[in-house]
Amino acid sequence: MSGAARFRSPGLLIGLALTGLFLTAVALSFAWTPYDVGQVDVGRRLLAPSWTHPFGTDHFGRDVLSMIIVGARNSLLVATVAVAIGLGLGAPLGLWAAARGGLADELVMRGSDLVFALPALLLAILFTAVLGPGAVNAIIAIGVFNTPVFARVTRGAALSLWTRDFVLAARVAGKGRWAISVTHIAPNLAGLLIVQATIQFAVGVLAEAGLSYVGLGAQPPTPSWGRMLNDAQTMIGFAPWLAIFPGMAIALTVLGLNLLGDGLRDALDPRLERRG
Amino acid sequence: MTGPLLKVERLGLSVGGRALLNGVSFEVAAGEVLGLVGESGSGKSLTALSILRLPPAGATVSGRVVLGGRDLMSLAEADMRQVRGGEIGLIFQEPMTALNPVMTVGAQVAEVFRLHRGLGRREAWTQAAAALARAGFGKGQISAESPLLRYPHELSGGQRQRVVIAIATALKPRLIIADEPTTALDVTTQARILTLLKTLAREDGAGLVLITHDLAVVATMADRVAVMRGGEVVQTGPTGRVLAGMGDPYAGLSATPRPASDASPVLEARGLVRAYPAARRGWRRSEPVRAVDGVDLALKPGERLGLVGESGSGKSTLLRALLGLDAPQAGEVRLDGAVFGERASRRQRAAVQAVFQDPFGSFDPRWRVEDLVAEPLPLMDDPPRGAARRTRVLETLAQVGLPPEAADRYPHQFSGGQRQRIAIARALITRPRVVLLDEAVSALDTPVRGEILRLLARLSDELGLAYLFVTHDLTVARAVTDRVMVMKAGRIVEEGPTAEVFAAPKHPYTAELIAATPQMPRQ
Repeated sequence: MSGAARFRSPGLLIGLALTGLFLTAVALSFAWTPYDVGQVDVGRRLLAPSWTHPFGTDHFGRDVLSMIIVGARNSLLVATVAVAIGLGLGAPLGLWAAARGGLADELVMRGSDLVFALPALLLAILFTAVLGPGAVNAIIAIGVFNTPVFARVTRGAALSLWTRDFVLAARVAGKGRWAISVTHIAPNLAGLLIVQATIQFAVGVLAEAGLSYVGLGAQPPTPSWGRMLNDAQTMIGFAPWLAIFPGMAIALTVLGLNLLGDGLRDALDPRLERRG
Repeated sequence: MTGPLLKVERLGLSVGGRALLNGVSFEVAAGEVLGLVGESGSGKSLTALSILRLPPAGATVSGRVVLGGRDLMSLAEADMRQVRGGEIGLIFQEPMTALNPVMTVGAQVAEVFRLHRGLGRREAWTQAAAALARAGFGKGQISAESPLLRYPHELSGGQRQRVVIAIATALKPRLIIADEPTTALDVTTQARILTLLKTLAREDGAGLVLITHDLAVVATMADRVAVMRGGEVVQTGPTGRVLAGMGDPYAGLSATPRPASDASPVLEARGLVRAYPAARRGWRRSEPVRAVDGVDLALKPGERLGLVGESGSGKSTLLRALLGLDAPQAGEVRLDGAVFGERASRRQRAAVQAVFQDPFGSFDPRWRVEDLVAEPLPLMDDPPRGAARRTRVLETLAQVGLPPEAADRYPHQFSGGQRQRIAIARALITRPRVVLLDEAVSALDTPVRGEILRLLARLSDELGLAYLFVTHDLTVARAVTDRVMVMKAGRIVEEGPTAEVFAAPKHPYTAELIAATPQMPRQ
């Protein structure tokens, strides 16, 4: 399959564009925002979208566009670390389960069944309610639920790789299970894990917004998309822009990441790499 | 009818700008058998799929396919559906996946009549029974034992392939395309299925396109042959002439029967048993299946030993035990008198290396050839590093006839035969004394197979290697081994010098195998 053509599907390009916008917002937030998000100006409160405030202002007179730009930071941070936790714990667990089989496999798989059996967001709420609200606890809670997802995906694909002849050849070359997992299995799973990470990233953004919405995510005054939605709730009748813009930011980011994930899955599809 | 039945003209197929088929042209007359041969990846199956207008997703097809005067490429999709199954019957390699596992075979054959002929239920079943009977199934009555009411998993591989053939020939198509119809079957079954195909095609006066990588099959079946390589037809002509033009692929092999050595064996197995737990039946587990059941084997230094048997005879299981990868339930494997098993030392492992069947699957697609070939090097006491490692790799590649540039490429950039050379290089780099070859040439087309076998023979002479050739192909065993063992259902049923076993088989099973093996015409 000649390279570039596979990366030209419309879904993938839209996904890349939306994800790019999200990352640009984060990068921009460190250098410049239209207004200072900490600056309260009651005289300018609840202004409808206009040229000076494209997304309007909130009940403290803060610029909504600036808050969304800065809020992207929090989403990125929480989702990234949560995916890193999930990948860092889940992938090695999955590799281990596939390499050892037997009891190890049962342990990992039944353990992930256990986590899957519990409603994720509800438990994350419990988690943060016990440990106290805040970005760090939200990250841990989301990360814990990412772990079995990565463990399963890794194990499933690794099991099929273990039956391949090149693994047999590596065993004949005297390599142990762990060496084979690291040198042969993991590199061949990279594409799959990148796709899964992208999708879990979208889930992370959504989960962070959910936790912040119920007040268990990032605490004020750190701007967060979920909490902006919550704040907007009581004013939705006369200031709908307060809900519309953060809601759109969440929806477009999640949509973009999902399109990116699906697009990458098609582009990196191992079935297209084989033979010819 | 005048003119050819099927005319393929400049058929091309490309995916993402890469041409996989290029100007493929051939003709098939009614009642003729055309053998379409070539190694895997040469475009044989793609040609068949393109004729049926079922190319892989994203592919663009060009050229003309004319069946009985009609250009299939310009037909509407609805008409094309009538052509598939109606005028062209297709038989696949793997009958299990070609059949629907949740439908009885009778229903699957009857479906053809209902869809294409619009027959009612009862009539369709009567026709299905007749079609199955024609494909060699016994009585077609619908009773408890009737094959019509069986599910695919209740049938053997050969029976399943008969069902597929019954479906493909049910409507008496004008053209039958059989894509490696016997590759998944045993030698003895293969012979019967091939006879059936030829008989049915002749009865209906249909053209038969037989796709295969096995020249011996073509030699016994085809009137004419088209040879494909790299997506192009490189040669067409009457079978005898094309095969004669290729020369004897096994020339130069087995010329000199070598004297038996009386040295003590380098690799030895005694009373080896390897069993798998049987499938569960309800709550109870039945007796474990003994895949290898008390095998004794002794391989002497420099000896070439053949292990012959059909699929499921336990050859591959035995091989894994001999490689010290799986622990046997009973018996033991000894290397130079010392136990060789799962806990083998590095030095022991360096002495026993292997080459596997699938030239596509036996390399990590993400590794460069240099790293692939060097993978077993850490088994050596003082493995070469850095520049010395590369020198060692290049030396070994040269031994198997590959240029130094090969080291920096990836496995997908090589043909099947070249990959098997790389696999041999990987097996040789630790300078082993024993190399186990698991169907090492069966995925290659016949001329390349001959080349690889000659290479292996030369290497064993030069390096004093002992080989164990595990194969289902008796022609291979006959061409390269000094001694041969015949395996059936986990046991060795016959053993002896190759020439003697082939000239006068003692066990009836060996005789049956030899009789069923398609022969290349000897010049």
